[in-house]
Amino acid sequence: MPPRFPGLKQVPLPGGPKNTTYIIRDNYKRHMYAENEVARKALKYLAHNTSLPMKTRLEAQLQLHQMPHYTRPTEIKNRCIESGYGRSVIKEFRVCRIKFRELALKGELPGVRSSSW
Amino acid sequence: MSSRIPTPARLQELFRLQCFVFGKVHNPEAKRIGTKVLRESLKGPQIRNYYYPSKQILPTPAKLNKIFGNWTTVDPEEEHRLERNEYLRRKGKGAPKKLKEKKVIEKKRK
Repeated sequence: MPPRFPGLKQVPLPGGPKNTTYIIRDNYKRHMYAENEVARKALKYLAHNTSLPMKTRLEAQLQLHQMPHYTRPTEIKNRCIESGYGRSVIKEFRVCRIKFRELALKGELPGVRSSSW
Repeated sequence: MSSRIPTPARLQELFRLQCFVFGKVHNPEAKRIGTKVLRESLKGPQIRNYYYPSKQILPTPAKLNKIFGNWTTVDPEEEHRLERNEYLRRKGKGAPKKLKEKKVIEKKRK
């Protein structure tokens, strides 16, 4: 069986406080997507173009389907950059709800403060 | 005197020229040519830089000080490590000193 993530060790690790396995995997997928983005777009363009002959369109679609799973954008998941938690991640700050509270109370998030009225 | 209202053919020609001048795809029949895919901007770099920048690429403060002789950048992690090492050594819990080669040979003979 071929390796699930070939060349995982060549990709530079993110320099966060805590690198979990899930963060490393997701980081790898992000790098692979960025590498293969142009090729994917070209194949998608060929497949979606109705003015081309049916054979080339089908071939392009098949090639797109045969690309490895780690080059697909749908494989990428937004994770907490502090803890690696995959759920309830706040998009604007890229941290999960727990770390968001911690950082906000410390005053490390600019423009965020606890409400009072 | 000719009418000032342009004919449909002339209007179409104008539209074609407009597309040519402004670098757009002329597609009056609205066929699916796939230009929608090409029009999208590439978002790979933005997606790749989601997490913190890698420390493996950036030089450490100690290296920076070495390259630029006058620099005195401080590495808090390294300072903490050195302080802790000193504290442990004072307590007598530090790492043992390196053995010299002669002593190693004597031990082996015993």
